[in-house]
Amino acid sequence: MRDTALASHAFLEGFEEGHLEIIEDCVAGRSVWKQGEMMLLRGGAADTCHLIVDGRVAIEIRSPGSAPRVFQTLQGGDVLGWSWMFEPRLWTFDARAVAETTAFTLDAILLRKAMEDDCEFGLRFGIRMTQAVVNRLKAARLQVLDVYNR
Amino acid sequence: MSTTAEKLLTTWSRVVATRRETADTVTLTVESDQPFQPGQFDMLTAFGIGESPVSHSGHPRIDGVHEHTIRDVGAVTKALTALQPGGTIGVRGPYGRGWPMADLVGNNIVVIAGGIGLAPLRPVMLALESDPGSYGRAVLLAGARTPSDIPFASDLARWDASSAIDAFVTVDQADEKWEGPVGVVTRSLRPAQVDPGSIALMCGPEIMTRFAAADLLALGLSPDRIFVSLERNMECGVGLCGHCQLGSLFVCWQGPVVPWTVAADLVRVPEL
Repeated sequence: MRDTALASHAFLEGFEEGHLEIIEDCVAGRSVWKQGEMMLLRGGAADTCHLIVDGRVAIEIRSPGSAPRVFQTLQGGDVLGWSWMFEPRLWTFDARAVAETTAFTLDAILLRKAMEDDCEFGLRFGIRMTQAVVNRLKAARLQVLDVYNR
Repeated sequence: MSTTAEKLLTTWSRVVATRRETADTVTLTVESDQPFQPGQFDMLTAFGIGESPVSHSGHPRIDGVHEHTIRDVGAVTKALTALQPGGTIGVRGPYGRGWPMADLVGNNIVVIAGGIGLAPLRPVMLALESDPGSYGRAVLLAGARTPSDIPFASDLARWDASSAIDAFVTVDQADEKWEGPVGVVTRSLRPAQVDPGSIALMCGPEIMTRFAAADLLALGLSPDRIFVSLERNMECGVGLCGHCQLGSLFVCWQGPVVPWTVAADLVRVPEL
């Protein structure tokens, strides 16, 4: 039975039926994190990809002796985690649920294999992932520009 | 109708109240019966120092006072933000074209404000708040550098609690206490579920408005339904001196609020 919430997730908008079935086969489950719970830890094995359904996630970096610094938050419709695509396949930053958060968790090992086995799916999913990376890069550049302080 | 000479006359107004919005931003309440349209600006004089264009930030109703929100960024604005109740400022105006208030009636509205750019949009928000039945769904996306740089915090809290307005506040840099969204202001467009038929009003740093316009267009909003308030070096206020000229546009007189169909080509030219 198809989980309609997965097919209607903003990140998967426009994917054809066959590709949605491939993604569905990679779903490890629906995950729920309570407020304050860590979702990803820097340096950990990047073997999952999360499609956030609702809640809010802080991407942050820690340094000894100081509180974690949040540089971006994600919300429903966003994808969390792309380090599984690239060597060394370790998380670069921490992710923490700042509100109760629900997501579809994809098994990234299965997903990567599916991308290799079906080149068209691999291309489509890779482009979608790259678009998310580009959007975050644009946003990060604007943040670095500190436009409000001019 | 007043003549150009009359429009250039400065009158003296008493400051009746001041309110600190952030570390460098103050709202002055000054005596005035002069009607204005949301989005218009006045030229404010700090006695003995100089003159600066400042948008109206209060409710457009005529009740004997006006509000102006000023960020301390130079000699004139430093003097204006240091004023205390009982002080006096020079005022001439209002100048320019404001927001298309008549067009907003019956429509869904999305307001995007960056930093102190919320000041010229506050009269719109106050008008929407006081007459919600006349408008469709109103969405406000407000961005600021840090949580302590968010102006009009009490208004934002009230609007957030209101059923008439969906308010989303985003900061570029969070502090330890901030639990809201972090990132560029337009990241809230998707969770805000903005209707593509909405009318959009934008004010903030020009870089921000360029990216916001691109995101609004990608959502399907029509460029003639996107309005931006342009910031330029306004001096005379009546289109005579040319200091504010942007291509063929006199921002002080034909703006500061213009549709994106007018602004898009102008903000693309680096020399302007």
